[in-house]
Amino acid sequence: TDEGTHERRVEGAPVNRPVHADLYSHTAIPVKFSGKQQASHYLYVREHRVREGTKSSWPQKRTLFVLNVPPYCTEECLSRLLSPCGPVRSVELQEKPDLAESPKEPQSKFFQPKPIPGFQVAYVVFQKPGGVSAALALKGPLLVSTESHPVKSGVHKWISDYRDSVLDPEALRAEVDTFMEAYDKKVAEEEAKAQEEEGVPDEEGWVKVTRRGRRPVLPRTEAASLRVLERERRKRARKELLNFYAWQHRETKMEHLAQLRKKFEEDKQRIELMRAQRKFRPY
Amino acid sequence: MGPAPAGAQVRGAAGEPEVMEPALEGTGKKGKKGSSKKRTVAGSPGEGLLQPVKLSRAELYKEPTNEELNRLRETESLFHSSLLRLQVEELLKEVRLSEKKKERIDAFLREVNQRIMRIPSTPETELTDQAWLPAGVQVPLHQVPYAVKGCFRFLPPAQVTVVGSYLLGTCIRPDVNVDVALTMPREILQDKDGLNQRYFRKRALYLAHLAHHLAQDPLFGSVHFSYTNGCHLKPSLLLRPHGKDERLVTVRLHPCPPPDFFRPCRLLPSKNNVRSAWYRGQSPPGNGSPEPPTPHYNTWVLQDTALESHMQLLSTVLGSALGLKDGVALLKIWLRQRELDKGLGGFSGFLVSMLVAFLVSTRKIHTTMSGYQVLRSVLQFLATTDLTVNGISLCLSSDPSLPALADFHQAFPVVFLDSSGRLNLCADVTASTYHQVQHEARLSMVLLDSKADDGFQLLLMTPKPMIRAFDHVLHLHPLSRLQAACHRLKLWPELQDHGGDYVSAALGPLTTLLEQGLGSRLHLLAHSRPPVSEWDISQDPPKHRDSGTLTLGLLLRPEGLTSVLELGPEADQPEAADFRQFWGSRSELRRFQDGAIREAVVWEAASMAQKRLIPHQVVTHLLALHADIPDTCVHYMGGLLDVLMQGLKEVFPPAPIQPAYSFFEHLREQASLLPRPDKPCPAYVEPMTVICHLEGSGQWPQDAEAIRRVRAAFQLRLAELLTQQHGLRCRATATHTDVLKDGFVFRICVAYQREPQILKEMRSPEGMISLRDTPASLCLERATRQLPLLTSALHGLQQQHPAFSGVARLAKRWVRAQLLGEGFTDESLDLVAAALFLHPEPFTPPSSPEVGFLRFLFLVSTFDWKNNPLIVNLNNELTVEEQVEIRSGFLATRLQLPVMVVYTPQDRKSSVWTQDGPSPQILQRLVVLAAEALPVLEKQLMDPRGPGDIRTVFRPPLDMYDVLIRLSPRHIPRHRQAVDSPAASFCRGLLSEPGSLSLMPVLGYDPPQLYLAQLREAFGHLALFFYDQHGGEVIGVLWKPASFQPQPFKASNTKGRMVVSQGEELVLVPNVEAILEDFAILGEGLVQAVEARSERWTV
Repeated sequence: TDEGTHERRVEGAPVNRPVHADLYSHTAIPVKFSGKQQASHYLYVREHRVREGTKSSWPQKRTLFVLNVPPYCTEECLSRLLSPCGPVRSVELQEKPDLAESPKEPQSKFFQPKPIPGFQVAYVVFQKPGGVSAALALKGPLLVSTESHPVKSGVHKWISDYRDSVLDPEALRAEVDTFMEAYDKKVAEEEAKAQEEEGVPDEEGWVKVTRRGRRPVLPRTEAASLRVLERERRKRARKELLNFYAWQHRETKMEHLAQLRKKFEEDKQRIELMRAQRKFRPY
Repeated sequence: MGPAPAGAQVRGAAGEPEVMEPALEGTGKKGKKGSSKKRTVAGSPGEGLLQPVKLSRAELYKEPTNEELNRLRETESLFHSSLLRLQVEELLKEVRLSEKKKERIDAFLREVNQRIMRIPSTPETELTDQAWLPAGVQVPLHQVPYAVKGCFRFLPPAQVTVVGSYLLGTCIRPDVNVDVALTMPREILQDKDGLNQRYFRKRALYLAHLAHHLAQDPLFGSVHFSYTNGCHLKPSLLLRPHGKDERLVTVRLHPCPPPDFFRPCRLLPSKNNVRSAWYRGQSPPGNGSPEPPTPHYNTWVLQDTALESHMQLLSTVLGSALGLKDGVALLKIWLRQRELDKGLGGFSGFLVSMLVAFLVSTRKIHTTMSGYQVLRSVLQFLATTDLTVNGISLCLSSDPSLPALADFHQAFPVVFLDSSGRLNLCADVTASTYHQVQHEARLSMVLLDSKADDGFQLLLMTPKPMIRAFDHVLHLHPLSRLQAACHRLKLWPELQDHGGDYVSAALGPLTTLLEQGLGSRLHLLAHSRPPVSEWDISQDPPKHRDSGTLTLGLLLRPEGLTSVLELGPEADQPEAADFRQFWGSRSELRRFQDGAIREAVVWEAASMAQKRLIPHQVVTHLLALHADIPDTCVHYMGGLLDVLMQGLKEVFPPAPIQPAYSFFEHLREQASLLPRPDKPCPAYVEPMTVICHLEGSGQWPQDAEAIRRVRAAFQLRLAELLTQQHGLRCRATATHTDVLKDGFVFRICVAYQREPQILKEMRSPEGMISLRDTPASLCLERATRQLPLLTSALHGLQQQHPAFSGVARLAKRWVRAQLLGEGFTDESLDLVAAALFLHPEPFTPPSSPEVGFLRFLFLVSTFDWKNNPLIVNLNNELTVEEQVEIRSGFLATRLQLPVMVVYTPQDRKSSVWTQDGPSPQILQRLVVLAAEALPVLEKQLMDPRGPGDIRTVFRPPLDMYDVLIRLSPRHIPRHRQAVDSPAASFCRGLLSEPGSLSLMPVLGYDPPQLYLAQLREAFGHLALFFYDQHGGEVIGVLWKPASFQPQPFKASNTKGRMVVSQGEELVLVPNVEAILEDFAILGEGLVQAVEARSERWTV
């Protein structure tokens, strides 16, 4: 559908000024950090649509896709800025456009360092489809930091980040304990399952040989197979006689000569390069 | 290995646009030009880049021809390797005179000969009556005392002969000299002319008359006087052709007496030919005592008589033996690279030729030897014999009337007699110069024996200027002080012998004095020789004091530097008086722990840096005490850069901290301090990392995530135990535990050996487990396995070479001060510094940070990073064969490797420490900056009037940046580490007096770094950011030209850009105005101003 794409080019705008118009169905909304700034960035927004047959976890019609979100603009900010268009259900900031919603399980704050934001893309899901069209009609400029909702930046932000980085060890302990409990349980289950299957033929009659059986086998790793090959090779080499036949002698000599020739060619190439670089001027 | 192409250094010096272009494909502009003219390297896609050689089987295994076999055999027997042979051949081609030039020179010589013979005679006058000399010319000699007996008249020379290297075919470019001997007719000279400089006066007048007439001839471009080998009594006349050939050749005219004019027995070293009564206007001290001998004076006269016989000897020996001539040419280059061949008492090319003749006569060199073998034999001879003790002689006769070698040893420090047995060829060579030659020969022999791949480059192509070769250098300036020194040292006979040249008279005694005083601290003391100056014929000859400065170079012995004590003899021994006399007031009686009471000198020095400067104290004390040279005349160049490493204890080493609690906010439950927004940024505390490897056990889980949890549990437990059992303040996180002890903070990281391997494991669809490097595994391996290994190896190096840490710190300091620190890891710079100690050839390992730093700059600016890996052979683990293997592996995989490749025994394939940087542009920039900084710094250090502002080369040029972001010092925690230490800084929450410490201080909080991380994340695709992490006040921003090209609209392109219409199309361009404002927003509080300096970004 093309009803969302309007031509709104400003008449008589100089050629090299930003064009506040749709571009390939995107709408530009100016955004500034606060009222003090002169110039503004532009959010390029459009309705989230996918080609037919492509799966997307974002709800159709209700999702607004936002490009070029400045680094100081957080999810809460964006939610606040777009709420005048209609109630916002969720805002998701991502580094790159990604059709799937990021995994919902919360990332551990102990084990995942907080990423440093750059310019990001956002998927904003409204409660109702009307929010999207209202957002497309926004004129801006949007202000990220206002009197009522100041956004921290610079020294204030770093200090609060530092405060956040000093974590409570007890909470860490609790998280580790829960994780390990779950892990132990999972391992125990797998173990039990393997025990159960040990030596039991499957429907075609095959028995899986594992390292737990009565006659354990080597683990199938690349290193192990290379080791076996190497051992074989050495065994074969030991059996061979060196310089026993006349032709072997001849070949060794020839080999030596070939080495010298190769070295000579290499050296010539080197000299050629050095001459080109004028390396023979002593002073 | 060798220097990078000269073109590469010039390129990009101007800066901006070049910096951005990919260097790997464009560094070889010179290479392109050179190879297009000649044969191109077979099928090379990257110009100027070595390719692995591919020869077909048929080519490799074809039947050899006789000729080929011969050449291969010859190469093996006469040279070290085919590479060396080719290199030597190329070098000789470069320094040899071409036939065409020889013809031009010969024609010029014929002209000169004719002009000389046509010069009119003059009537006879008294020597003191010089009124006949025309106005435009001055006598090229200091006539002191003026009165002398004898008459002079000018007659054209009886014979004009070309002598010296030009005829022998051993002269080398670039400065070609042709020596011409003019035999004065017998009528000019009188009996007893050998006495009281009469011969030299006549010689000078002869030259003056010649000069006057030749100067009017349009054939000559310039007519100058100069001293022959720097000897003040023997001027010579320099003629250069007019026009375009002016640089081609210098003809030097040396008048000499007719053969057999002087009776050799009058000129033996024990004879006196300058009478005290005449020279000093008084009879010798102590009535009746004999006149002091004048060995140098006698030698100078003898030299003139022997010019032709030496020439004959050399031409019979060198004659048709091409190898010998090659050898002499190579030796001359070798000497010149070491600055040993110039000036009075230099080891000149003539001396070396005579040495070759000597070795031929003793059958140590054979005439069929190759040039390389001659070089090797001569170096071997120099390295193993000591001519100061056992002189050598070319004289074969056993005539009893000839003086014994012992007589010569008494008069001269170094003895090498010519074939007459009366003339010491090394008469002017001082003991220190000879020792320097010996030292260099020894080093070179070690290098030749080591079979190093780049021996040729290091031996013959690397210059060794004094400032880069010696640990400390000192200048004596002004030289006129040496006159007083001569009187203080009672050197009147020497002055009489040297014709008043107090510099050379004082040189020997001064160096002996300092050598004795420095004793075990000193490895070698060398002195510069006064340069041979030229002057116009209408000017007076330069005074002794005008012959530049006297520069002494000290090569220190690191093991001797640790002691502050000079132990003398026991007080009751007779030597005690000598000791007291030698050290003067510094000598004092001391009682030692073993009960002995001895004379001793104790120097004040607490730290290693101060101990390194004890030689300074020794030198100034001894010079003032014995030679009357005040310390204002001694300009000691050592320890000058120390201020950049340890100023105010803020740069290094880490000091225990003592926070003022009121300065901080407190986080009660974690007992931690926090920075406060209303106060300046607290002092920067960087924890010292400790890796704690836990024992392997089957209990560890086999899953990467689970291992991290277990490690976290260990961190928690560690903190708990340290707190409970040792009462230490700890703070545990998932990856590390910070421990506060005695004001130091340690960061303990628990590591599990198998973790990198588990991260590497990949299961193929068939169930085969293979190991593949992943970013996470590499990172972990680097931090937990390779870094500790490297640290311990470097620690070992530091124990061996105490100057290592200083050099590494200066190197890092400089690189970061140039705002390029981000591209280079600490470890990569440490390794480059380590290479200076492990592979110092052709130098010795540096014993002072300054000289190490100079060599660092030299290495960085000349190393051909494109074609060579820097192999740092830590602990000498790599054999020669392994290094060859590494090199060939490097060539084969060059394009996959980083631009700067540094290998260690533990890391032979991937160069881990330079994996993530520098980029080609940054490395190129560093090379350019190093090439610019080196001559500036060397000039400063060689300036006898003092180095001026030593920090000059540490200040970065800022004109190349597009935007400068000025930071507020209030929030720069390391502000006082800055190169130009600020006069006043902020209180950063530290107390000076110790107290109890129980709260964890603010760790690793550095706002400029946090700011930079944000900038790079947000704008890294548009610009590069440069900053000096040691207290820099400015961030340089360089736009990337490529990203300023208008882009089509794509979701991935929009970051920081905006849409503009260009013609009919809508394109994306960077939103520069908004970005500049973003710079200020992201760094709120830290940023003082954002200065956009170029308008390049306006589209």
